[in-house]
Amino acid sequence: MTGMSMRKVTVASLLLLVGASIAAATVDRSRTVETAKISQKGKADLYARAYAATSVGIPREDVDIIIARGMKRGGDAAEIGRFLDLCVNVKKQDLPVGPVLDRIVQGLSKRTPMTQINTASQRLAEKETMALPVVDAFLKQGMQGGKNNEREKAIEAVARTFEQSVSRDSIAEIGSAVQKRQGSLSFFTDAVNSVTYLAAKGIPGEKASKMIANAVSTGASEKDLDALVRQTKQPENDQNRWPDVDAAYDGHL
Amino acid sequence: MNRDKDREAMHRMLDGDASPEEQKVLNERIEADPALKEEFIKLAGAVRMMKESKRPVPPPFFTAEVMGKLPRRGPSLVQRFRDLFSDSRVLRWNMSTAAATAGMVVIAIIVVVLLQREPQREPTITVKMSYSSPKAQSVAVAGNFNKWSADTHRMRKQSNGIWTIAIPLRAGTYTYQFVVDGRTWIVDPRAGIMQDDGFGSRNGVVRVNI
Repeated sequence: MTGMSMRKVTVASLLLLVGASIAAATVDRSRTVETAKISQKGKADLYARAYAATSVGIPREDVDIIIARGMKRGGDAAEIGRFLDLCVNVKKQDLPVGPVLDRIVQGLSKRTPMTQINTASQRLAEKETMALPVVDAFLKQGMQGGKNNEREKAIEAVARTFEQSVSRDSIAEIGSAVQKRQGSLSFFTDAVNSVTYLAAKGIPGEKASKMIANAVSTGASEKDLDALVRQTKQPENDQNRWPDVDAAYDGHL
Repeated sequence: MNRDKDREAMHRMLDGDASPEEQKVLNERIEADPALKEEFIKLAGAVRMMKESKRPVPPPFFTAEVMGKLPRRGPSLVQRFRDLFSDSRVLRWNMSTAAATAGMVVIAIIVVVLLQREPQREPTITVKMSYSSPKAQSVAVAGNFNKWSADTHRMRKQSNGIWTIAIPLRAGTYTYQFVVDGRTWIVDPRAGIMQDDGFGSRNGVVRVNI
């Protein structure tokens, strides 16, 4: 083998190695899309949107799950593409994309109607947009924290309370109570999450918010808030609000 | 002296091997014989040309290239297959090919090491979950820890009809539901904390503090 041909073999091997890696990474998605009953234009459109999503930093695992589950559900390229577009928009606005991705992936797995998933995930994205200035305002006012993903968690927590019709004023009240105790953003997030947990037990959002604000003002710790949530029982007259619990097969221990 | 002997003498003289006496005799012969003189002049010219011309240096891999261009009689398929394994081979190399090969080996080692290296293990806590459903054929737990997969975390049925599973989880907050018989999503009736799932139902919440 001559020097020249050896070099050619070397370069070709390297290119082959790189190409094989890329091919292996995209083969699953390609297989999913190619076997789907959608038009060539739809497939091309989906590839483009998937590329756009991963380009802005959305984990490819999530992108692949959305495409695979969407296809399995018989969704068309436009419906699946809308999910990806929403995630891209959320990411571009510097909002936490994790909760939106989680809602889409969860809805697809739970076989929730596509339109309902779209509505619910868009609603969460809108609430995150509302929550962002609230959280940033507390950080500007000197609330400690914001490192790693603390800010994102706080935005998610506030957005979820907004979904429970809790007002900005009520969140501000909790924030003020935390600030008076020189509490951290992490504690604020715990307190706000407690509101959504209480709301999930049937306590109206505003009422839950007042409860938590009072608890924080009177010196409740994170453990106290946890105990408060756990000990709060679902109202008797609210039993039929969550039929999934009552219809839970024979699920009683 | 015949012509062959004259030629031998001329060769010896041009090679510088002839004795002075021999040279003297040969010079006399050349002067006396015009044909011999002409032959000597041509022979001397050829020797001078050879001495003056540079010896050509073959290009690298000349032999291999020449051999490669030689017409071959096509061997049979069986013969080629046999040759593939039995022929001895010589690998010619230079620094650039050696460097490229070494680079490939290094890349291969890095890839293997990266693939085999276990991710830095964050501490986990094993969370045990249970759900009672004696009539169910299968129960799984799906949550944000497994991207809501309804079949990766299947629970095991105990003799009393209670389905159980132990899941190692890192610090964080997790939401989940049980999936009965692969299609019915159930909120954990024993969950102390729950959260609206955004679709009109609720998820159980597990908070792991380490």
